[in-house]
Amino acid sequence: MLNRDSAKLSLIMNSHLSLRLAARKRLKVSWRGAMAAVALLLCTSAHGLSVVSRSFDELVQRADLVLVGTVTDVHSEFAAGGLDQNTIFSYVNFNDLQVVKGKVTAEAYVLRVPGGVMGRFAQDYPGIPAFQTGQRYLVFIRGNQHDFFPVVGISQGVFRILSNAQGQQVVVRDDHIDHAGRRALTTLTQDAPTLDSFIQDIRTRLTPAVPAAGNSPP
Amino acid sequence: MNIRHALLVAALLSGLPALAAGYAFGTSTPDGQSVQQNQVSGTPVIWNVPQQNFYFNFGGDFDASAASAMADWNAVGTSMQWGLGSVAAQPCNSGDHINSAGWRATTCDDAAFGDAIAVTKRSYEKIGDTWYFADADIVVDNTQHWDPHYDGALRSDHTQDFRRVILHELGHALGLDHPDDAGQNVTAIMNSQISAIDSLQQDDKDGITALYAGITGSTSNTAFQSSSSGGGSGGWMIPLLALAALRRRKACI
Repeated sequence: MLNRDSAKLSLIMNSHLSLRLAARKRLKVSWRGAMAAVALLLCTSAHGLSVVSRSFDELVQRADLVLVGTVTDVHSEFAAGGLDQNTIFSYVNFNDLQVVKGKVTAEAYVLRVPGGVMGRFAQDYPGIPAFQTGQRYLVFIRGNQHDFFPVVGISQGVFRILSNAQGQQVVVRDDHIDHAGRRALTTLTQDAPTLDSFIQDIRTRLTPAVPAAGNSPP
Repeated sequence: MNIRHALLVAALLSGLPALAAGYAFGTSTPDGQSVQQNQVSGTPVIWNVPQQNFYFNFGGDFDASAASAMADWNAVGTSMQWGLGSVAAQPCNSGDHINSAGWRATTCDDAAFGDAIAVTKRSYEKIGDTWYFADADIVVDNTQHWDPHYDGALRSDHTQDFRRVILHELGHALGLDHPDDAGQNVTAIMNSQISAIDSLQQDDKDGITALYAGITGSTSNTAFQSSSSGGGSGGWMIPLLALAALRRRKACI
């Protein structure tokens, strides 16, 4: 899966290439070096500061449950137990479920996430995704009701289902969406994988590899 | 530089993401019912009293690293100044109004860290119609391998740089969020993406300056003052400055 950083680099390098052609190779070597330096400056590590980095394969393999669902309700409560009973948890209700990995027996699924609002008290954890009522998500869940934030890779395992300009359902990682609304969603969705192809990618990784013909044990 | 080169540079820069300052912070939702993270406009949620203490429970070199990270934020020179707390407290009590940090094998609700290695919990309280920070606690996963402090590139053996992580988490405790999660492309310790950056950058300093601009050091509003105090009246500045000086000296060597 192309991540945001490599996508940026690709765009920059494409610009670089076309501009070089337009200049008909009249640029000096130093200019090429300067442009390459600009591109490298924008290439950052994909490792979260306080979060373990997860590959797409790891998201699939480590998840207990992968589901697509629409958030219909989020409500908060103080913790019933634990060391800190002042902790607030929010309970995110997913409906209209499509289960890609694992099993859900009920029609709805409830995900417990930390933080929330209780009257004039509130808690948050910077870097933790916030689920929005009415939004459809694809989530790689692990350790619900047990882990601090029960999603593989924290924000790396939360994807929003959005529509692209062609009206197709596409999948965009939640933390790639500009929370301040400064980037148009159309930019993000135009190159995003469709929901169907994304689910197919997950299922492919869940299917045990079939030995190629001729490589079978005798 | 000829006109062709100038046009080329302009075209290149226009295709790149903006590199302007872009720190992010939390603000009240429009209905005032909650706090929204990763915003770049609006009125930031900040500490009501801009002198707060932090109590570290890490021990030894790790406490010294944490104090050094704290001194870096103080050195920006805003009215918001951290002090070293003298009242022992554990980070798993968000109702005590004592900012504290320490090791844990699980998070404070006995949940597994999962894929997080350090977590800052910010508690807010609404005074009138305005949200303020009431408590900030940091827990760090003691099952990871930590080094109190190393400079520069990340180690390939997954040893975590404790100081770099605490510097970032203290930024959250001050009110800063992730600029990259707010659509910014800036060099900052507060980005959600780790890199070789191990110190405060201009964007981080601009962020904290913007949050506390115009906030005086007055302690007349005492909503949280009594419970979050624990140090003397400024006496904590001396050890912090000494630590900062020591760190600079080491860097010169």
